[in-house]
Amino acid sequence: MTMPNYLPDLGPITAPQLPEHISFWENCAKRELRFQCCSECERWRHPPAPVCPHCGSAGATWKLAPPRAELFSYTVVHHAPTPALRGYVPYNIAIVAFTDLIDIRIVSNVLNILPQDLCIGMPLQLVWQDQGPGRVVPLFVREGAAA
Amino acid sequence: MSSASPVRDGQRACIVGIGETRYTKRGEQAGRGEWALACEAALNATRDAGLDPRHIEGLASYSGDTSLPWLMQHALGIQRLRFASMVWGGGGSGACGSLAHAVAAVESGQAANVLVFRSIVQRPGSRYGEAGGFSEVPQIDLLAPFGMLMPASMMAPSFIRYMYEYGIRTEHLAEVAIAFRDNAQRNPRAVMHGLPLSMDQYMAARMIAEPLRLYDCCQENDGACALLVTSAERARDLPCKPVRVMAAQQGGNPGWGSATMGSHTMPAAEYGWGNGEQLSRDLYAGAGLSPSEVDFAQIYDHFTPAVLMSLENFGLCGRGEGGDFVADGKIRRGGSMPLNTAGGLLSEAYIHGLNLVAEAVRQLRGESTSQVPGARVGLVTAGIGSTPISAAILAV
Ligand SMILES: [Zn+2]
Repeated sequence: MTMPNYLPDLGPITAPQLPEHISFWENCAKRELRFQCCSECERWRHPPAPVCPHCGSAGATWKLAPPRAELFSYTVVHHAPTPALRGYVPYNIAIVAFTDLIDIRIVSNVLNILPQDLCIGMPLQLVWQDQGPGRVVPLFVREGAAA
Repeated sequence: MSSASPVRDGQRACIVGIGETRYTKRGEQAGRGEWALACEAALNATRDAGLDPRHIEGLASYSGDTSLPWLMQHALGIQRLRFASMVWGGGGSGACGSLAHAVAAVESGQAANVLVFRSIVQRPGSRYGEAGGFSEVPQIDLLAPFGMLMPASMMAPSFIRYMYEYGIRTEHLAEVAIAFRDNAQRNPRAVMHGLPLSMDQYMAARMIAEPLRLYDCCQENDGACALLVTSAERARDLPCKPVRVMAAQQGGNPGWGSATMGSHTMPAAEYGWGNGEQLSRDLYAGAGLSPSEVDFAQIYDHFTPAVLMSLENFGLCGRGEGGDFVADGKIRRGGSMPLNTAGGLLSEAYIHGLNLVAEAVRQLRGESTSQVPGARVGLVTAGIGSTPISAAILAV
């Protein structure tokens, strides 16, 4: 990577506790953002869950997230919640929505942007960052901007 | 009163006692610990009610209270323990939920006198601005890698969206913080008593997570609060003025199971608004009352924008009108809808919201330091933005 990490690896707190989340992160490690899609009713769900909230089916496939994404909301954190983040404030936290999916969002960060330039609805593009050993995180840049 | 209920009038639940410890800044009562504080609040509540603590039959708390039922039974000398309940709900969102359990126990005859309590001593490493307290949140792996590790940053995006959709301004948030701080100046129990807040101080305070400045965030405190719930017919034998629990309930709109502590996938139309509408409908229906009959409210104020959202969710003003509603003094003493008359969680103390119920009881007894003249019906809310939240309507 040519770019410094947006945020550092925070260690054990970032490890999945629910078995349902393991596949999500394994896909991320392959730089693939995938969400569960119900085998019965074909509706998407996230965060991962053992059964479909729409039909109760346990069957699911992991489908690639559609490319069109936008900034649904955000915050800019000025108070470091842990000493490891002290050198990183202020940093943004983005709530990213996928234009072609209903109520599927992820928490992420937008790279290469000033806090005052964040704006709800702005189109975003997925990029990947190696945050630590075995951990690749889905981040975003403004659409058309280079990571 | 709701006619659908099978509960006899004499069996209806009342709050007959409130008890509190001293409220202090976090850590100041660490040497005593949560059990001691819980017992002190419990004994103050039974004394207030004129009841022998050994006659408590039920215990109800929430949010991982460490004062376990056997500790309380032991210390209070409870002779006939018949009910013990711990309600889910992080932070204070279970405050009215534990009251609801106490009411259910009393009205179903499972227990006669039920103590609702919450005791908090803020422990090192679990401060609200710190990550440590979240290591056991099951979906934290979807938040932590992106630096979302404290309640302020978990809630802030919904507040940004709320302000964006409805034109809510920083001045509206400031009015909530300043109005509650003003109430605290009349309440000697308030941790912020003697420390008024000006608009200049509010604006100059450091940013925590946009849009939240320091004074938009509730305090961290040590203390305990307790309520004693019993039936109307038993209340007649006690010296106090009973306050009726017209409704107390938990709830939360659909789709909020993965909200602020998950992946923020609640329904888009409610993301920047809140999850209280369904609960609100149930609550007023259960109480047989409408929002226009509410004389005052104690609104869960972990963050100032949550107060505006709650005003809207619980029907005290229209959707998107929370900012305009607070702008002209309505929520202040003497206004048409006085809020958080003891100072709230922002300026009295953050006892996970149970102190809001205690203040509602004081209002209805006519004992508040910012008394609303002729107050007969009060709304109390507990939490917004995660599932489940809870709320109650009290009346005399
Ligand atoms: Zn399905």
